[in-house]
Amino acid sequence: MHIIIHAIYQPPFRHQQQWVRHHESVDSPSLQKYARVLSKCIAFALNIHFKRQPGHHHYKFPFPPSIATALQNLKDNYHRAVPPPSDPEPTVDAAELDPADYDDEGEHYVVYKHRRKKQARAFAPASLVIQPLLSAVIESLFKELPPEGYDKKTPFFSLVVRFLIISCLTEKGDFCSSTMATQTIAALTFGGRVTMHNLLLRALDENPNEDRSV
Amino acid sequence: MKIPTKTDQCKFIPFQVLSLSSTFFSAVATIQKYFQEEFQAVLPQLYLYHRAFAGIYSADQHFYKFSAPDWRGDSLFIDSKILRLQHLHDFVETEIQDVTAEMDRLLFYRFRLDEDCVIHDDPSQRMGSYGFVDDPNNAWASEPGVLQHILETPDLFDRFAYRNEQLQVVWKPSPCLSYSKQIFDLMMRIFILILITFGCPGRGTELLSMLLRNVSAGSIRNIFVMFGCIFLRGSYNKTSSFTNADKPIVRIPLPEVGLLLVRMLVYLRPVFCDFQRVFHPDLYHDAMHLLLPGFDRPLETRDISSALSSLFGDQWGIHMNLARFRQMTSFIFECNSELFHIESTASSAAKQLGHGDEVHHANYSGDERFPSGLNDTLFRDNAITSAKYHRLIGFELRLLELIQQGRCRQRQILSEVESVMRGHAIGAPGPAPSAAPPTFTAADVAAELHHLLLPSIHQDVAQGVASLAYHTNPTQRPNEVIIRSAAPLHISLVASFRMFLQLSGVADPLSTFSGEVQRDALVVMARKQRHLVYVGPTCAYVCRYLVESYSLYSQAVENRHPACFFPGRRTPSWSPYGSSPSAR
Repeated sequence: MHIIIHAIYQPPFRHQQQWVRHHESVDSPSLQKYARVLSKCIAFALNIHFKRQPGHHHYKFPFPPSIATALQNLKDNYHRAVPPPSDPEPTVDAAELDPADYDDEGEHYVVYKHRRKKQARAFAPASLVIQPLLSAVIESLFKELPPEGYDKKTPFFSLVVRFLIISCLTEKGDFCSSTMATQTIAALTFGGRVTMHNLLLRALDENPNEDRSV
Repeated sequence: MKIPTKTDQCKFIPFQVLSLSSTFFSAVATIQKYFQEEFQAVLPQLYLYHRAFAGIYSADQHFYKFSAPDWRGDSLFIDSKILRLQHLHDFVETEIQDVTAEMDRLLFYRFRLDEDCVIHDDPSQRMGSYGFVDDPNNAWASEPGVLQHILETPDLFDRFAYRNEQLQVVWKPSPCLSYSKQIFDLMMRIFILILITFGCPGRGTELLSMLLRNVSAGSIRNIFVMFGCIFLRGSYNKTSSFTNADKPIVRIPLPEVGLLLVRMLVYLRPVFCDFQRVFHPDLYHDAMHLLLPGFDRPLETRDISSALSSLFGDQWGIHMNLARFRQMTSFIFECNSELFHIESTASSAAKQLGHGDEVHHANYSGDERFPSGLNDTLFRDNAITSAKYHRLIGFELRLLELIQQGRCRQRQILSEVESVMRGHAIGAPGPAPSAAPPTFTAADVAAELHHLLLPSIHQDVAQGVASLAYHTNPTQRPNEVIIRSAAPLHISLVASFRMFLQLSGVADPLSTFSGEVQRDALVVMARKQRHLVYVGPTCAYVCRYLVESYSLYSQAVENRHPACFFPGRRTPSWSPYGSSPSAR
């Protein structure tokens, strides 16, 4: 049991304990970067699930019911979450970015030319609708377990791992560098830990009368 | 469903508390399987993949690669453009002139440092908030600062401040902040000059954490003055996190750039700090202690990258940031690998003592003349690398000359050893033709002459003083004049001295004088008579004192005796009751 609790807060590698960054110390650019990876993962799931058409050879694999339900809820309620039209946010041309825009530790993506154009994003009331749905999708992704009768020799089963492999492919079909892959894994792992923490808090909230003290 | 906010994410409960609560046990049981490898959940798989990918280095493509047109090592290709080291040299020369002009303007064409000024520093000093800019022995310590100049100059005062009804000084925000911003921009320009000329730069986190002053109960500073030049001591680096130890690194910018930095730190930084205390109080501590503080927010790595990007983009049309600049510098070093090749850093003393280099550096090679963690071997290895880099980008080897001062004896011995190793006895005619003759600089000659001549000079001075005393009081023999009693100790003074000692907190009631000289000096002071005290070393390194009546000294001066040659001839202003700084 202790190992389980320990794993929530620290990676299982004991020798990496000194590299562990507490979640509260993760800065805002890193959070944005992690959120960007998770949004790609959700978009990947939506594309796979809703663009299946008979006769077309799309990349497809069986979805567990929990993920399919969460995605369907997200799709059904998305129209309620569309924010009101506003001024378009200045976008960054992807062609102007290159690996040199990473800082020296490769953690943050730094866009010098467009930094001043960024504006504070106002809180949209629609977020109250979309955020629980997104949380449900993320939760279903990280709670995915192998199906019954799963053959352990099969290399991949979960959607998150499939997304990881697909995201490592470049446009030419080559695999990206290991550094880029580990950054994607770090973002997904962060999302998983936060999701598990949310589950833990919810389990505690379900028993409010019990004594939480030591 | 509860939305996890950032605040919730931060509400982590300590592991020890969690492990003792049964409620938490039951809560954790709900998510237990998602962390166990036997269930093949997502998170354990991700950890395993991370471990596998992190071990792959051969496929790593996040690595800048450069090329060079030839093997001369003075140019390289970046983004299909060629960058020559001569370009860097020209830029540094022009920028030094521009920065000097801008600094003159900001300092109102005052507050200059002499090129040959002596800068005092105490590298082993660990006192909090100490830096060489605060050393009281430096020339600028007794000078009025720029802020005082602003307050005392009517035009400048009207420009920056006004007095309210209580006659208090109120700083005007707009001109003061504008002035501070100009100082900040100048600091960034000097920092870029340092970055270009001191060799291989560190990471952004290391550069931005460099300290100007010691932090109380924290780190010691990172900027020192030794051998007449500024050097930066890198302490924190990426490996510090898992070695739990600082890695001493020395980087030395061009001496001219170092002087610019000193002038900025001595004169402009105090004004910047004072204005930050008024207008940005949260950043006042940074302004006092960091080598590169922020103006309206703490600096980040991207700020250095942005400054580099602007410079390289404007000058040569090359996209650059700090990571790429580090790789570029490394490539320049690789292209000139023969120049920067260090044969071995192993210490002979470590070998004979019978332990490794790490143990030797940690426990045996401490040197009070250097900051913590450094000794002469480490310092010279790094400093010579910086000096070679200066020459590589087209500047003189002035830094190397400064470092090598006073080491001619070592080179002479080394030359003799090499000669003997080649089969030639010492003193035998015809040294080995391949042995390079030892080279001597003017500073070496001066150091040797200083070492040889100083004892005889001191001896001559002592003899001159004795001669003076003899001529002022010819009845006494010269060899007794060197230490002579100024006045007899009357018994009535003893009680006064004991009372003085009691008031001074000396517990021992039977305390006495430590010597005749101390007794003579106190007697003179008690009698309130003007006397002359001469304290001078001898060739035997034993101090000699002469307490001579001022009347006798005046007599010798009036007679214009040739022995009266030491300072204070015009009007000696020394007195035990009213000493002036010049006489002290």
